[in-house]
Amino acid sequence: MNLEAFQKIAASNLWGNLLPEIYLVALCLLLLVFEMVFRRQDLLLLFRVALWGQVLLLVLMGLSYFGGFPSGREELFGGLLVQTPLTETMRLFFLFGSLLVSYLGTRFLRARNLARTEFFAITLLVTAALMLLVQSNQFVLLFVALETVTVGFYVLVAYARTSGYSLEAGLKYLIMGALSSGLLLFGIVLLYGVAGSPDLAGAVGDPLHFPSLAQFIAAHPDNTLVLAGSLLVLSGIAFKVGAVPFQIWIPDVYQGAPTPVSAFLAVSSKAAGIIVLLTLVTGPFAALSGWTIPLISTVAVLTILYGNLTALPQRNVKRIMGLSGIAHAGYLLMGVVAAMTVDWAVGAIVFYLFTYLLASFGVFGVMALLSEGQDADQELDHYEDLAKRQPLLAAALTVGLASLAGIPPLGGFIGKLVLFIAAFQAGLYTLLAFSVVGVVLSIYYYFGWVREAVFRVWRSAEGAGSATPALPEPRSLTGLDRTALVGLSVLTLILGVAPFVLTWFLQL
Amino acid sequence: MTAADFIPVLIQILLAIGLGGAILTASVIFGQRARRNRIKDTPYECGMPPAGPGRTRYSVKFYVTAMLFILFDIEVVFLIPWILSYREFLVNGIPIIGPIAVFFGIFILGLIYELKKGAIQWEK
Repeated sequence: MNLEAFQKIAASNLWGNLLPEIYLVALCLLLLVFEMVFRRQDLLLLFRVALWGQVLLLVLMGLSYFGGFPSGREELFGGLLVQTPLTETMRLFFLFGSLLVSYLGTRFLRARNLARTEFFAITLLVTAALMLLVQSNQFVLLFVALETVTVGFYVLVAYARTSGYSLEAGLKYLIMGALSSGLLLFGIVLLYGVAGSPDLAGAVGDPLHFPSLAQFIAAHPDNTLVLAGSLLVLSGIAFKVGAVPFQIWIPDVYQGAPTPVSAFLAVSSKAAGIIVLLTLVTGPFAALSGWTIPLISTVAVLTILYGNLTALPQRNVKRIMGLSGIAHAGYLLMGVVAAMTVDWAVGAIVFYLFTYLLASFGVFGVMALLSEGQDADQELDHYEDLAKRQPLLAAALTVGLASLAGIPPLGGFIGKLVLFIAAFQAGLYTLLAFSVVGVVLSIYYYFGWVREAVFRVWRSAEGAGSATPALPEPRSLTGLDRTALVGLSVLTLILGVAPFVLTWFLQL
Repeated sequence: MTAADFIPVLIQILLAIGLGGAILTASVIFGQRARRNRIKDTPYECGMPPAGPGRTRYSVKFYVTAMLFILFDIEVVFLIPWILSYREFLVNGIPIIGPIAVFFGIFILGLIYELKKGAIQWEK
């Protein structure tokens, strides 16, 4: 037994650096123990433990930054994990996301008679896996973390077991997700085989370790198996991101899944996919930029056009969010291409993700608060005169949608602006032109929605909306709902007008 | 290993296919045949006319047990290498008790959770 190697690995097992993940898993187990001890499923108690537990983690992580935000690159666990300021920021991102999902989930679970503990437990577990996913520096860990995320999402998407929509979404997501995991795994196996083969010159000891793989690929960029393997890996990731041609599951799954889960998928899952893609194309696949840049650029153009064009005629709000989410994935892919040549584009991507998180959760939050659990067939017509009925919801919706569309002075505008500047510096002029066209198209459907909610003053008696079945009247907003919505809107505004936030992000 | 080393495997596969094909073909060629009709195709139920559809759904109660078995199986997979190496690891000052304790803690917690949820109860 090679004990020295084990000693070296054991010395790099810095468990302290994984405390946020360990905390989340412990919180998840605590919730399950709670369910065992107190047989009745006390929603309020569960909700408090889950929510305040996460708030406590956020505070603790905030306190730990008083000694200085982590800088530099640190490899842990014998190279399995790598921690950088980027991964630390993404940790905060995922934690913030899961906090909002837990909050929206409470609203959802209160309205539906479903199992309760598991929703929070799985959300926490998925969040821990997302954090590990963006830190992974080795293909096995990457795959295991990705599968933990995906399996958790299979359950969450089909969570409303009594709804046909949710079951359909769950089945579609399961089949598509399994297919994409298969592609990814097959790609990993091909890379492993070719990079570890002693018959080839330059075989590396640990072909699954990203830096070693990068070394091998740099030496053999034209090898057919390298080409096939990396193409399959990129396809598998593109499935998770929802990039064309792997976008087909998105509208149905987003529509059928419970609204909090749609938001979770749209924001956290997509963000993780983008960051993993970024890690791969700038890490192990950096030597392949000769064909990855044109490939991802083409995919980005198609994704932007597909998302925006298909969202134009939609009336179902969840499908609009799903399809426009595809378009946002397209802009982010453009950022990924830019980041392959322009270093600071990474910060622009993360900034864009944060603005997307705030705006998306604002919009999904309004959707969840309006629908009271019956959310799969929420149409634009349900938003008629929202400004008169629920002024606060209408205001939060308007801020969220305007930020998604990229209207100054909101965060979404600055996010798009820095992304476009990065693409300009990288010389991606065609891609940039298509993105601008996409943004203009998106204003039509985002503001069509705002018009329904806020501006519509006249409608005929037998107009478009009269045949739509009415949704149950929403319960009155609690203080927490107001705080959450106002908080999201204010943060969106702050990201748009406070330059120091942007400066901080661009240092990543 | 070169491709030539795999020739026995190829022969094995060809033999399996050939044998299976030969048996099926022989049964078609030499087998006894009767004329098929509706009555001959119905399942034989002690001379009674068959009642109900042939395919019914029934509860596979042992699926939880099967899942639990897989969990314990994986646990054994982790445990055997641990037992084989922990002495040497301990002597060389590599922490190994803590990780396995955490692993088992989570594992036993999961088991208790399953039992509390009634995974082993047959009738419910």
